[in-house]
Amino acid sequence: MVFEKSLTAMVKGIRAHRGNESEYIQACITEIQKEVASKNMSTKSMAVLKLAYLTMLGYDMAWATFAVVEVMGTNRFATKRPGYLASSISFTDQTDVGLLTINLFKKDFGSQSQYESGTAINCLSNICSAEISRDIMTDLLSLLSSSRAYLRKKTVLCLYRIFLKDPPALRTCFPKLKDRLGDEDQGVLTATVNTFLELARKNARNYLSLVPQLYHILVNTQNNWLSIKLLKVFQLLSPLEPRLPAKLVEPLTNILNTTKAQSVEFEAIRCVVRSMPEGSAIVALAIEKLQTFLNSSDRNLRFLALDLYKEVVEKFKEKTSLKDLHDKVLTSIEEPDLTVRRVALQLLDRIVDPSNFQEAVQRLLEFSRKATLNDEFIGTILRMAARDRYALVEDFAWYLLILGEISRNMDSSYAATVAEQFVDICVRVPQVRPYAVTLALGLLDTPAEAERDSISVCTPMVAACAWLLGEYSGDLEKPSEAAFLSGAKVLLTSRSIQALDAATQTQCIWAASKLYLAVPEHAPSTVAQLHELLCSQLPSFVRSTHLDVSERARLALNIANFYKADAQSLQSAKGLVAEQLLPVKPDAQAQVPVSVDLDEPFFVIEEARPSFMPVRADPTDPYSLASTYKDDLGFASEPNRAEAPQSTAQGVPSSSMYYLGKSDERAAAEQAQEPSVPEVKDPLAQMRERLEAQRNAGAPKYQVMRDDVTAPGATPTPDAGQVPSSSSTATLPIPPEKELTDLQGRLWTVCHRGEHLAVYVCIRSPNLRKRQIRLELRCERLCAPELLVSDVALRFPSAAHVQEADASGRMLVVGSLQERSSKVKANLDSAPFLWPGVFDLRCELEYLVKSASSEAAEAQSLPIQLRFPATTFLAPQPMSEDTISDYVSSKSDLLGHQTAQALSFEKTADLSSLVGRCAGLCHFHGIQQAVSPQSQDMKFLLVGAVQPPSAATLEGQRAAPTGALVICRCAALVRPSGLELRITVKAFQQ
Amino acid sequence: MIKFILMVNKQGQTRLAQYYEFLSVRERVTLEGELIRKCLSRSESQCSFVEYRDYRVVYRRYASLYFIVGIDNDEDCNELAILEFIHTLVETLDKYFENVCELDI
Repeated sequence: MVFEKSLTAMVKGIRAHRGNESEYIQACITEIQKEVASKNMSTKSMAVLKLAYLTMLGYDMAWATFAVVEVMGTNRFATKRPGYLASSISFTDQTDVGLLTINLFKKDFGSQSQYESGTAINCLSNICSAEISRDIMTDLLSLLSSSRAYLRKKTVLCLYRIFLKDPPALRTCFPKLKDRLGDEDQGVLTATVNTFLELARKNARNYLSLVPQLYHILVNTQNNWLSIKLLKVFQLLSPLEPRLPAKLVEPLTNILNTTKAQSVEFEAIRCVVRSMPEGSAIVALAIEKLQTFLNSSDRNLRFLALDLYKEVVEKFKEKTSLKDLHDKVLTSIEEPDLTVRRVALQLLDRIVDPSNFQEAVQRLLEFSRKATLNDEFIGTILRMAARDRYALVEDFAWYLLILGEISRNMDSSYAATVAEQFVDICVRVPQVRPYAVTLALGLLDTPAEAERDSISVCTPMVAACAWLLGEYSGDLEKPSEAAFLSGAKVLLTSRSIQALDAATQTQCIWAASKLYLAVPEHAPSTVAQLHELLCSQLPSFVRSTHLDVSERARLALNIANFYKADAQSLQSAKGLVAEQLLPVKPDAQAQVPVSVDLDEPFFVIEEARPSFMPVRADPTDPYSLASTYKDDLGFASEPNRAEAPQSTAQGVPSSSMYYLGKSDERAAAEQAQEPSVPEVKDPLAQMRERLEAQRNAGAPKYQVMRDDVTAPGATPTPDAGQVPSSSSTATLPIPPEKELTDLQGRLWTVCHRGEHLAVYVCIRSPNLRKRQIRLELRCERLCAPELLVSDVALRFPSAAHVQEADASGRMLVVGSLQERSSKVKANLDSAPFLWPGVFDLRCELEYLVKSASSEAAEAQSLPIQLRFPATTFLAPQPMSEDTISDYVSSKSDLLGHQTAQALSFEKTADLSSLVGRCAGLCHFHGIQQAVSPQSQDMKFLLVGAVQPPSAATLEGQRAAPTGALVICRCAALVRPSGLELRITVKAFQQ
Repeated sequence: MIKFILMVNKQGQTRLAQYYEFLSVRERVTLEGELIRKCLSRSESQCSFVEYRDYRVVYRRYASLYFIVGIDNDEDCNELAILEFIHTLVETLDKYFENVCELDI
């Protein structure tokens, strides 16, 4: 006889065996295995209870499910309960004994004790599956109208769980459930409203019919919890029913004015913010209440108010008194609570405008100096500034200074962003460049004696400064000799540069060489000094262990050696860096259509040409040969190149190779210079003074190049926000090729469905260059399994030139056809396909059928038609709106036919991309036409060109007129019910 | 919807846990540990709402015991109502145990 251990004893035992619990538990499980088999129900029940506990510790109890069901079926409540508990913990949809529980549930639902039924309902909600639900639904429905409120409440809640598992059940229960909204018991009512709320979260539209009852409850209830739930339901419903908000004004005002509970008040405010139109009195009331929340001493209320304000600001642009809020938010940022602070920062991000941006940034910077975790502040500054291409920044010089200050913080995670913005602003705002370059020089050139050789700004910023210095050296303040020299010096000599990463070093080297190349134009007198600096400093970079650095240094050194310290020859090198950079869209590269076809050889194999062009022998003109040389490097235009170095070298003794005392002298020169600047100033402080001076003198007007350059040949994407109202035409974004190919891959059509099998085809875009069209074919067997279908082949007409096909046509299936064949590709020569219309290609389908009984296979041959859609053989024709209208007026004979069609859609958010996708699939070039800014309608023009004529013809095909176009005009009209699309197609023939 | 209710004491021991969605034991232990550390690190002057993983967490302290309720972050639950709910829960416990303390739980 096994000693029966209670749950408490087992738990105590587990605690006592610290260290080797698993051994003890294993022992317990063996014990339980015996107990479960016992006849005594209370022993069994205890065993199940212990197992339930062990399951929660992670032990499997799937082996005992039958025992659980047995325990559930006992008569005593005390033994029954562990069974229900264990089953609700351990049963899953896969548990096969789950179905055995149905009768137990039915029995317990009818039990005398409401607690037995209650436990059963509870358990059902946990283990219900679609199968159980179907069988038990009628019992649950009768429980819904039970006389006991306790059971009604439990059933309502249980139903929600069942709907999740078995959605069709909702349909049968809905009327009964709706009746429960009239229940006089508060508990049942709350449960019902709750259930409807959760259901409405999934699909609110279905519950609009409940509005009158819900409204009635809202007006009459005093229960706070219920009010909150109702307000939530109304938040979900009011966007769907335009008449609802007006109805709600009265009860909401009532709640706002009378309720004592802050939670209800808050929910009411939220409901108003979300569902009421801007400008109404109730919105003003709600915002006023929200303001009191914001000023309250309760931290929780302050947090919630800030959080809700985010929504308010987003929804009502004009209404809110931003000034107050701005101050309030700035004070909230100082709160010690991180959560509040983060929400405040997010809110600040939304409410700043150019007038208070400077103040906000200053405050944020101050806090960031005080706080230990300051990255958030800095991130907010950067985010605010960069929004809409620096729309908030009015004084760019000031903002650059701020960036400089931030970059002093070496370990900020935003270092790279700061550097990026620094460069970006300079590229976009030409007027700020002089200031920026000086600032960059100041940042790099740290004067503080102690930091002589350590750069005090973060690494990405060093790279940014170096780039600026090189690129915009022309903007350095005149006279710029000193600046050029110190710039190059700082870029090359500072020892800490060599400690930075390779990419930064390369930037510095190149920036220095750019300075050298630009020197003759801006500071001609320092050519020699710079040249010497490069020659003396670069070798140490050449020795760098980084390949990049070494290579770049060598290049720079060679450039320096080539041009020497000669101002005039250097002039000719300007071309190296002449091209100006413009802001480039981040995705510009991706928009360049891929022109490389991997099947095409990279090099066209040409016939070998003689290496030298034969020169016309002309005794009268001895220079004819020489004139064929191009003056690539501008040597010919520099007739006195040879003399120049000497003349400049004379002036500067240090560039002479015989000069020995250079290092001493430079040191001396430095020493001589230093005393002349008596106090060492922080460059930022200096720059700040400059900024002040600049401001006093009248701030410069900044113009930001907000437009991005897209790569040539790319199709520019219209700005999403701009499209509907803009008065310009925009090319429709045709999705990238990959997306189109994916879409095409899904367009399978049935081309044959017969007695034995079906054939499906997917027609890919023709490759116009290779004059090929690819078909993908697949077949599926339809006949009974006794019949063996094998060796399916498709024979194309001979004119179609199928590649890689053998005499019997393209084999789809070799051997017997199972359920479905794999995809077979066939490449057709597209040359014979000329006609831009629906075309059926006649093919023959051949296969063998063999029944299991007969020996001989029967050959079948059926004619089938492959249908090519009308637009398959069009080619997109990039044209502007003007050229199209020219074409329409001049070639009216080629547009004799017109067909129209109207479609209606549900509203789609992004129609232009949809039309673009269609245009891409049908090989059209698309443009979006201008419409009046008020209307939301859109117009598109799609153009496709027909194939050029070719010699090969196919039965049923003929050439279209040369140069004919198919023009398709789409007008999308926005109607209240949805979107109406009118399509007119013009072509040379129907 | 409420995803879990925890009662954790100041030493970080979980006294009672009720989850309304499945989490493995290991996940539960880490979740409880991280949450209580988060709550303990917050001072009285900070608000009682924390965002944690996908949950919005509302907590309230009664003597040495933290009542922590996790709700769905996507749906906006009324945080104040949850606070009131916690208080109701405590009052219920108090009524049942008469002067409830941590040991009762």
